[in-house]
Amino acid sequence: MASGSRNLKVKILVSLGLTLLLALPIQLFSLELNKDLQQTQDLVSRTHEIMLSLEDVNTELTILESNIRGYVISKNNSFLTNHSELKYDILAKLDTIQQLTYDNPSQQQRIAKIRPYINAKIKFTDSIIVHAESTGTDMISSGYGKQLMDNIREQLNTIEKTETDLLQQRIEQSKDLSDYVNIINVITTLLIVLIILAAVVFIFIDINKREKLESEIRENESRLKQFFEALPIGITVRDAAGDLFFTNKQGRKTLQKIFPESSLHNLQQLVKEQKVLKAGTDELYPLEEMPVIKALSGTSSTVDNIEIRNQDNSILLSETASPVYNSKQEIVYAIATFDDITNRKKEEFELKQAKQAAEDSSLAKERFLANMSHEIRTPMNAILGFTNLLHRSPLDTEQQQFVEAIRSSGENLLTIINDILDVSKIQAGMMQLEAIPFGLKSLFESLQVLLQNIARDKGLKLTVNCQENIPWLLIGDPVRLTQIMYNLIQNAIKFTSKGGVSVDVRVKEQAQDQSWIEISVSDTGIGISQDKLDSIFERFSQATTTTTREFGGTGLGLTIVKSLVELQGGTISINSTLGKGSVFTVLIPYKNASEDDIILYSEQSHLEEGTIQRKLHVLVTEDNLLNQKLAFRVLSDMGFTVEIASNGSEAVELLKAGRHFDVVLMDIQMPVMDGYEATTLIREKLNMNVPIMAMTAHAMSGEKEKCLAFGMNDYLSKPFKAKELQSKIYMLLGADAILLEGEHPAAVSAPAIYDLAYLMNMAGGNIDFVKEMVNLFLTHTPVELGKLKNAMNHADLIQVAEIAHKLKSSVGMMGIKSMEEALKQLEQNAKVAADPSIMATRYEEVALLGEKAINELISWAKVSEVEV
Amino acid sequence: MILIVEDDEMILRALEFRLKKDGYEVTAARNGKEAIDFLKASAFKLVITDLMLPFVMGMELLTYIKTNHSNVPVIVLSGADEETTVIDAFKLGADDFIAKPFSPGELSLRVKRLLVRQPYVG
Repeated sequence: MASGSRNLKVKILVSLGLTLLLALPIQLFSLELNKDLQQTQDLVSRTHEIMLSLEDVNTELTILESNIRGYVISKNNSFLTNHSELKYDILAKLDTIQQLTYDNPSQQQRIAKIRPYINAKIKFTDSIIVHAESTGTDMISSGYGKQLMDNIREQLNTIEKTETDLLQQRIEQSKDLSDYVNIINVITTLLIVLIILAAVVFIFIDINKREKLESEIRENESRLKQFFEALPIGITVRDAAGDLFFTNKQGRKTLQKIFPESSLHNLQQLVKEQKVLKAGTDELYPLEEMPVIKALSGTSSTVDNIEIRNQDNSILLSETASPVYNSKQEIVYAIATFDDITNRKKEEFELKQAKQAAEDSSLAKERFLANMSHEIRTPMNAILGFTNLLHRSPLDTEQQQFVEAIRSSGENLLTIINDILDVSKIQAGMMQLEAIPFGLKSLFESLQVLLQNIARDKGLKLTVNCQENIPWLLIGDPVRLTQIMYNLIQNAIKFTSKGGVSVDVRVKEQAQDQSWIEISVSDTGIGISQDKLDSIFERFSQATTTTTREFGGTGLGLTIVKSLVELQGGTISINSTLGKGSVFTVLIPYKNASEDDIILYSEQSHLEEGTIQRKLHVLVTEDNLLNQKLAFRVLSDMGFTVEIASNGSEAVELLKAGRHFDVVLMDIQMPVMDGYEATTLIREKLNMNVPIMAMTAHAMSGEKEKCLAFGMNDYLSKPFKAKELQSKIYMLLGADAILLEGEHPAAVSAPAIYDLAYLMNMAGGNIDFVKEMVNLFLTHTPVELGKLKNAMNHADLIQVAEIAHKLKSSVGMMGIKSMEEALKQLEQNAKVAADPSIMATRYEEVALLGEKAINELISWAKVSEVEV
Repeated sequence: MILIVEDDEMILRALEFRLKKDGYEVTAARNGKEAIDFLKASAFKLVITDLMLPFVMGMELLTYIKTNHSNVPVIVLSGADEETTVIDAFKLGADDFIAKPFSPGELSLRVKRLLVRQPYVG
């Protein structure tokens, strides 16, 4: 637009300039011409004047002539009245002519020529007058006068003729000039008209363009306005004073909500009238924080906490404002977009509340589960424990069956509780996985030992095949793998009535840092039909509803297995033919052990190898009377000496009094002082590092961590299994027991003849191995003792020495020191062929000790079979 | 692969358990004759043998191994009171000895030492 108008101005100026430029020289030229014309006309009029004067001279000369003649004739003086005037006039006229023809030398010459004639004429006339009386008539008749007159006339005529020619010439010249001026005038006029016309055309074109442009601008403006109007978001534009300059439809709508009668136009006024507040407060919105005000100082900003209040109405706005600049880069307006977020905020608030409620309820569920598991586990501990003790007491067959029914139902119930807890832990994402080094082969060996008996009882063969190249050590969670495999193998055994269960372990894929281990569990059991395969891993799903009735179980086992496998980044799949059997295949990635891990693991296994060669003194801190009795019985059966504290405070008092305990078993929930507090006191006040093992029915995740955080060394959940407790105690004391050896020689000695500490140590916590060894001892020793008896009877000294030697090592392994010593002496005696009566006494001693050891170990084996 | 030669079932089982726990492959022979058959059939990295064995005595077995499989290290097991036998065994080329009843840590250590070239054979 600016350039357009400048263009127009230039065009006007150019055309005007051109016209002027053209007109000016032409006018100058024509002025010049006019001056010429004037001159010419002056000359013409002068010529006329000259001619008139010539005429006058001629006439007056004639008058003079005739007057003279009249006087001469009549002698009347009246003819001479104006004679001198005439003379003077003639001369004056001649002077005039001479003056007028000053620029014409030829005329001047002529006048000069005529002048003597005129003077002569006048002189002649004068002499006539003087001589009128005498010779006047003669003088006239002489014709001199006439001759003079003729000369004069002739000269005058010549002058007149010359002047007439001159006049003619001048008139023509003047006429030419005048024509020339006219032509130029016409041309000039035409040119000017043309220029003006062109200018007008151009200007018109320009004006048209401008009009078009203006209409386009108007169009654009209206379009933009429509855009603004159509936006579903409120837009206001305010000027520097905060006055409303523009509001779009949505903006008006939003503002009308709060100001139905009329909207307040000025922002500052709006704030001043205490209508703009910080959302949710009664605090006035600080002007300097408002986006519009900020925008007016050049900063764009967004807020979502503006509340506009008008009497009882209020709306919440989110607002974004930016500055609007003019062409000089000055801020002229602030454009603000705003949105009514009243509903959004309300929903946000509701969502937050809902989230809080959900979290609360999740927490409540968690607490409920924790409490439920605690409440159920505490009595279960007593039920199962005493059922087991009852089982071992003399009962008739029917009673045995009842007790067995109680035991198996109790164990099922416990499994269900554990399963439910596991599922809820997995669901809550609270199942924590460990990443520690473990040996895959030994894990499967333990599993085999653990499940062998169950399989054997059903007449099934359980085989575990580990591929040659499986890594010696892997990093992962051995507990979860055991849980998975235990479940799968137990399931396989459960659903198989003949044939066997086979476990194959192999490396599926080996990478730089991890190995994918594939384990398949195949059975020759009832199998699962194809249509049930998909749902087999779903919760509470079993192949058929009759399955539950026939085989029992919660239907949670496989769900847990699947979740555990997937938690470890693995997969589980199943292949099955109804009636033929099933194959469960688990694929789990484990990190490969590094050199450091191997060293660490070796050190760990050395720790657990520490020899425990003495009786342990155990403090049981437990408030429940039944559980106290149970713990006492179980620990005594393990060959430990036991003291009881009924709460944390009693335990602390006992320790404070200087009593020595190898390990403290600590219940958590107790009256007077709970386990946490007691542990804190023992660790911090008494500054004692006696191993403390938490025993609690709180089985929720995080409990173990909490116990460890309070300074306890390990954690066992109730109801516990005797062997689990035993191996935990050995694990806990492995290293310390060596260090403490000899420090407490007065430790109470065991009533038992045997000491399984060596085997326990060898087993590294694997009670099944100890059991196996005891069983081996129980199988072989009576045979060897029989052989010994036979040799003695035959006095075969070589045999006696050999058998005694052989027996010695087995007996030594069982820690039957007295018998070992007796055998050693018997061997020596036989070698040196000692007195038969001494040998007989030695043999009697050996036989007696052997019988006692066998009896005691049989009862040990029975106790350890029982899971308390 | 480790070959254990021991006629006492319990000691045999204990050795087997311990070595398997350490991640070794173990073959058990209950007398010297059986041991020689195993040695003929497959290659072993180590032999652990008792000295008092039926049929073929420990010393004979040791001599056989050192003659026919000179690169296979041998650990002999002996009672605590068999010092003289142990010295004889060393004379016959035994690489190490472990006294019965053996300590599991000691067993692991001595086996590891002899298998130092392939410490973690699966």
